[in-house]
Amino acid sequence: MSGPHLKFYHQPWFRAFLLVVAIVIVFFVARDLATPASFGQYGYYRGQNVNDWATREVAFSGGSTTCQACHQDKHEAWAAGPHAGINCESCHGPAAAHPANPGQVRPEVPAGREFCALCHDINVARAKAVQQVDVAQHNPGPDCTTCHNPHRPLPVGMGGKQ
Amino acid sequence: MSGFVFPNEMEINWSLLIVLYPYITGLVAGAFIVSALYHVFNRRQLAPVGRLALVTALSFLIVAPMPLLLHLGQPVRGLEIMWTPNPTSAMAGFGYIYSFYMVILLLEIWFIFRSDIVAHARSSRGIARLGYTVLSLGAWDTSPRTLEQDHRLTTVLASIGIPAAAFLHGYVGFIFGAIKANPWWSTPLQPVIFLLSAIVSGMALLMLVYAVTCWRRKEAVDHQCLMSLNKYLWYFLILDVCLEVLEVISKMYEAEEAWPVIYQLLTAYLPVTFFGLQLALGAVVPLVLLTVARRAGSRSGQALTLLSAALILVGVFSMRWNVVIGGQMLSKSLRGFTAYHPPFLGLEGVLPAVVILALPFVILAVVCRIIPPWSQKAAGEEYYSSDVEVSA
Amino acid sequence: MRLSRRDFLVKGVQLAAGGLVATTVVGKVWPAGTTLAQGKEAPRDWTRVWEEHEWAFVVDTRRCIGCGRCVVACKKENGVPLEAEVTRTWVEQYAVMADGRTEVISPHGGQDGFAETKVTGEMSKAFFVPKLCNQCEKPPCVKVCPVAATYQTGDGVVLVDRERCIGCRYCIQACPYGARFLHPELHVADKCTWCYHRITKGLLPACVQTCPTGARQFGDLKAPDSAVKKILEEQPSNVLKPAMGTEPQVYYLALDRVVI
Ligand code: HEC
Ligand code: HEC
Ligand code: HEC
Ligand code: HEC
Repeated sequence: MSGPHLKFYHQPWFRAFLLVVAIVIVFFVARDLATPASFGQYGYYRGQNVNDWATREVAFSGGSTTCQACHQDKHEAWAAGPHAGINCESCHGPAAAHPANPGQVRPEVPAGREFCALCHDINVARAKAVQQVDVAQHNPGPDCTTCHNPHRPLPVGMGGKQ
Repeated sequence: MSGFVFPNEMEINWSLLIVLYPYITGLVAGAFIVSALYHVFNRRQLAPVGRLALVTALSFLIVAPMPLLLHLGQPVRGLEIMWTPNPTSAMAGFGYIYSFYMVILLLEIWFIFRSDIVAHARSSRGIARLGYTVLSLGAWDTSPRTLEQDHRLTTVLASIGIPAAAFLHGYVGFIFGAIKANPWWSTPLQPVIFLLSAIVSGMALLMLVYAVTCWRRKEAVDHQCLMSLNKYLWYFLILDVCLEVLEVISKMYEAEEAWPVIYQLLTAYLPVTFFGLQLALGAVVPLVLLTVARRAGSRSGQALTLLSAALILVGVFSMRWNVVIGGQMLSKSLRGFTAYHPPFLGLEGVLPAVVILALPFVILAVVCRIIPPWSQKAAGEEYYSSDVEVSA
Repeated sequence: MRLSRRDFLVKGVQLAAGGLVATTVVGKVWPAGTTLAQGKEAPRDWTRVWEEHEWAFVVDTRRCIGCGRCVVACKKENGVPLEAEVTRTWVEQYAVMADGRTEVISPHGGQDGFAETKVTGEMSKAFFVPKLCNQCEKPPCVKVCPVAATYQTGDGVVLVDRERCIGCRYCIQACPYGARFLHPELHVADKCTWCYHRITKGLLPACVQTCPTGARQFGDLKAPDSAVKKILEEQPSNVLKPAMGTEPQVYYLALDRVVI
């Protein structure tokens, strides 16, 4: 393409070509700098991220046995009653950080009739395996826990409430 | 919200800004196609807009990524799309296709305007001279032989630019068309529809830009040029509308699982923007007007053509809205719809959208000052060198 | 198979870059990003770990009582604001009317439970359906991520790299199940991870652990006496939207046909 009239490096196409080459070089250098170190370790993604996720701290403990040592009474009652299938933290919320620091980090203590209603209120869609009461009708007024022990919920007089 | 939508669908994820994005890239593609008709296919009638089309395409191309960036949850990470593009992602191509196209377009503009730039550099002084010298990359030779070479390169670049432009926009259609999870988006026709509507909208835009620049410069609009654009516009528009309607008809005829909700979407949620703006005002009326315009007198013919162009711009915007927003209104539960009313202020509101839409015109005005794209009466000589003064 | 796919991906990028320079995908200079975890565990060799597991999730719709404890637990375990509408898991209540109409609700994802169902007309059946990420074997969300910020681990869980996600929300669009969302505080895509930080420590996902009735079950199909494996071998199961070709790994027992 370079005619004899002009040295090739004076020609427009060469100047433009140089510019494009410069852009491409800058791109590759930038890409090399910007690609994370562990990218491609396991696949086409940043491998370190697997560790990021796996090492996140848990909020919920491993299970109800975690609570057994310190809350023997509750655990015993619970294990013998109909709520034994329900994890302590299902009602008490995340408590993984609680054992190390029981005074400071306190799990929730659920209260109120609406709480028990979550599982026991009448609902046509609800599995019949769970006893349902019409919360508005069933002994209205006091908290459910005045008559039922939440950890071993059998009615008063049937050995439920301690 | 009505009916049942999944909890994660309470709000629309792709908002007004994502409507703008395909709209703006579409305008780019369309304007570029016009310039290619002239520079590659030698449609001489289009000489008056040949160079204008290029700088218009550039102005809009510069703005195209802006709505995308603004919309990102993490805008500063936007460049990751260049560093680690996921080869299986339809969207990952954006960075590369965009950059490639930008380079091609800039090169083409540079070669076409180089002799102008050199002339400006020679005739100006001070800062302006320095600026033009940098722009010229120091290549000051304007001998006929070098210009001839420029010209040949221009044709090559423009020929590469056509598939690049088509790709840039066709693939935007693919971004939507390839989402199997969305029954309103998912169709192999989507890229073609996007491409055709892009061409249509870009042509319409260019006609209006051309008319306005003529009016500003107190020059007569080149009737032949406008009417030739009118004809091209008509052809592309009829194709576009047919495909858009075909898409809906085939969904209906196949009685897809989602057809009942799509039907509800069109009739209850998008009747105005789909039937009213996209199909009636944005397609049928312009088709008629464009036909009438070619038979009308010169003044009224031009007026009707420009009116059609304006209607088409509205129609294509509605089409983008109907696809982007409509597709998200429809819940993936196929049992409900999410409402969307863009806020006026805020990052994703109407105001920033208007600003973004206005920005290309500002850029265009600036570019036209630096390298005036107006051809002289000896149209067709794209590498003429002149001593047009840069108005200060 | 995974290795060859990875090679293919790497090749793809090099081609996409124009094949101008043969670069390795792994950059050397960028400092390893700050981790989002406080845990200082030494990085494991995950390829080894992954070989030993194949997780599966089983949902028994007959057992769900719609208490929403799973939704609350999930949000607390994974730092999704309780007041946010978005959620990694949720519970839907279906009521199929005698005339064939189906009414579905999921107020606040079901996290506050369900009030007494108010139905007009005669009802033929009603039930709850818990939903979560299906950790599809062929995840469309991973396919569409433009920056490779979301990926599938070797043991079949789809994760999002919060340091790399750009928040474009394409993955949210691509998920047929509505399982993904933009995290309202972090502004990156978020989704159920099957509590990856728990299952890799041998614990159950928070939702499974807090389910009072065993409607949600989780396990390792490669474990010697895997309960979920037994269930899947003995009972008919189904997946959501099988026509999408995503091959979900959340298996539903007694899934009614009206459930989408
Ligand atoms: C290391 C012993 C320890 C373990 C393990 C432990 N707790 Fe506690 N917990 C305590 C002590 C001590 C208190 C009383 C704190 C106080 O009142 O200052 C307490 C109090 C509580 C309370 C009442 C909080 C209040 O505000 O009244 C609840 C509920 C509770 N624990 C639940 C749990 C649960 C659930 C677990 C299992 C995940 C658990 N605990 C495990 C020691 C423990
Ligand atoms: C069905 C829900 C439920 C479950 C399951 C449950 N609790 Fe409770 N727990 C409650 C309620 C409700 C109270 C508040 C009782 C009250 O107000 O009298 C409570 C109170 C407590 C308290 C505080 C008692 C006090 O006197 O302040 C402790 C400690 C406790 N629970 C431990 C446990 C442990 C340990 C387990 C698991 C073995 C467990 N809970 C399981 C509902 C539950
Ligand atoms: C997370 C769900 C859940 C919550 C919350 C809950 N329960 Fe239960 N409850 C159950 C399940 C499951 C059973 C066992 C199935 C059954 O026997 O109904 C049960 C059983 C019972 C029973 C025994 C019924 C019977 O006759 O066998 C009583 C009484 C009871 N719960 C009372 C309460 C009270 C009071 C509260 C509030 C402190 C409460 N429950 C909170 C799930 C729950
Ligand atoms: C005034 C005391 C009292 C209060 C308050 C109370 N209950 Fe009961 N509950 C009883 C007695 C007594 C029985 C057993 C007799 C019966 O079946 O009515 C019972 C039975 C039940 C049963 C078993 C029903 C069955 O058919 O076996 C459930 C479940 C129950 N209660 C839940 C609740 C819930 C939930 C609340 C709070 C909304 C609550 N109760 C409040 C006294 C009470």
